[in-house]
Amino acid sequence: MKKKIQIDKILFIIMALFPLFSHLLVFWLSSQIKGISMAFTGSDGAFTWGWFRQALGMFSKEATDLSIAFKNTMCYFLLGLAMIPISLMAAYVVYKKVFGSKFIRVMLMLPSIVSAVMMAMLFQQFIMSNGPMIHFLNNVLNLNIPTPLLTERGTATIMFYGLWIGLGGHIPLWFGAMSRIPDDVLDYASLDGIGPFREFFQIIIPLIWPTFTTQITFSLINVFGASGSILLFTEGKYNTWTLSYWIYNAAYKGRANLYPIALALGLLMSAASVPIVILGRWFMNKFGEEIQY
Amino acid sequence: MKKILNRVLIYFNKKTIVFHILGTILWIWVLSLAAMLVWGISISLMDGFEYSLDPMKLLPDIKNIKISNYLKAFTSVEYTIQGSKVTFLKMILNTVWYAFGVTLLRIIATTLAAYCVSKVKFKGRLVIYYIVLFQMLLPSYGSDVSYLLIIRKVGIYDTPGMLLANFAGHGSWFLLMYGCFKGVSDSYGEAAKIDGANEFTVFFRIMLPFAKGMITAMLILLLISTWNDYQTPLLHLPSYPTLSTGLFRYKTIAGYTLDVPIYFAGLLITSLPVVIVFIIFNKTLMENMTIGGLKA
Repeated sequence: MKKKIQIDKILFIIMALFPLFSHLLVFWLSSQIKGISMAFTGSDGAFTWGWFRQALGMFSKEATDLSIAFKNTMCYFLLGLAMIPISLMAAYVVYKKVFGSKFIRVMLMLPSIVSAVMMAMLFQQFIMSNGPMIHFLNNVLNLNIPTPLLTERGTATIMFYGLWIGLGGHIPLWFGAMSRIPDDVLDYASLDGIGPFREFFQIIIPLIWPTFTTQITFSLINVFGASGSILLFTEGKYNTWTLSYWIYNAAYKGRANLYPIALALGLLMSAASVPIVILGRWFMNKFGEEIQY
Repeated sequence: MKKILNRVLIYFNKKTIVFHILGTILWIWVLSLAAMLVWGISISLMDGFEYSLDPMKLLPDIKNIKISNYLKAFTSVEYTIQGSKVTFLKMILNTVWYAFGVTLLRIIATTLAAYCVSKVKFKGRLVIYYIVLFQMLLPSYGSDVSYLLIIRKVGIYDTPGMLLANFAGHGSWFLLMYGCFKGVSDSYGEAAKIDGANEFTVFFRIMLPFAKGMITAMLILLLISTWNDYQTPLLHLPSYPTLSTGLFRYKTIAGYTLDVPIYFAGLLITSLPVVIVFIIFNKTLMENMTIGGLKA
């Protein structure tokens, strides 16, 4: 009987872990090995640092696709970081039941629920020179916004779109974290006469600190990862490249001659992001600690 | 009326001025989003000629509302790529098998792996946990290219076999499921084992029901994200355009000949299923989504 239970257990472990291990080996590990080996192999099959030199060379020159991509990537990264506290504040206001909070919550989340292609196409039509948004801003509010927005001002426009549309993306996580805060804690705070500001900074943030640090950590891991909407709006035209999109584009367009440079670039980006993540985690651990409740 | 006025006064007395300012900003924010979405629906009901004459027009002529645009999307939105005709119905079919296939395989693999690592006692399970964590946290930027080369080598590139590449039990969902199973007391499983249940019975009949909420949240969010995914199918399944990739390509191919109202009707049809799913399961999602140390 005991032997049968033991066999069942082994069978279960094999069945449960087979997909995980086979995927890790076949798709993840082998693609990492392939990437590293190609980045260090020259056209003649010999070991080389050449692709890294080429990638770095493209960075250092003025106004190349990659130097522009680097600047844009940093802009997207900073925007992503800024969006974390902004969305947290928005979630808190909704959590505290501002007038129409249910409607606000649904509307903020809706853009991340519906098709990104739909939202991007809608936005494109909305901000056309003869579209309703520009008409409203220029003729009703007299703001004199120069058009077209998706050419010379492509990156700024896509960043605005990311902020406008993407704010609600974090909301479910903030809500999940806030909803677990015991009501008693907030009730006692309220009885002690604590206002919303003190409640937000001294109760909410410390209690949801693990969620906050996780969000920041994911942003730091993805420090060079911005690529999403560029494909939908400009496909890299008008100097809207980012590093990640440049790599994606090499794969998407099947530009095999760029593969080794893209892989070398990817390795450089991965290596550069590791200390950023470690430093970020150290910084966050120094300023906050997890509270058990 | 007096009752409503009283309620409004009580509401305003309770909150500070900063709170009202933040609330107003949020309202402007969501109203601008709502305006764009309503405008999109409005365009989808316009006549193509009417829209081209005045793209600033906010609402269609009441007498000339074109609900038929939604039917026309099924017949008009089509293009030819490499000699093969891609119709709207084909895009729907591709989206259905891709979204449901990926979601189902990921749920099966993730639930099994997370349960096994969190609850079944065997040597090395912590090592597996750290491997998954390491794999998740390791930034891997060049992988678009190397992954493409691997799936080509495996022979699943641009075939429905790409679903196999999603039969993966790792990633952030693994951690959420792991946290979920960790939160269930071991005593349930142990009691069942004393009664003669094996690991399969404990998993399927005792532990899975505890993870129902998390599995539902995972099902909905994965379904929504794969339904809307455009980057992966564009790169790995070029011959099987889903609604997202197909409509994106259709716009590029159509160029200036694009009938915007019919195109927008097509885009709205694309989003309708996910919006319905979201409305139905909104509460489940909110209750089950937490990450980073707190109970999942």
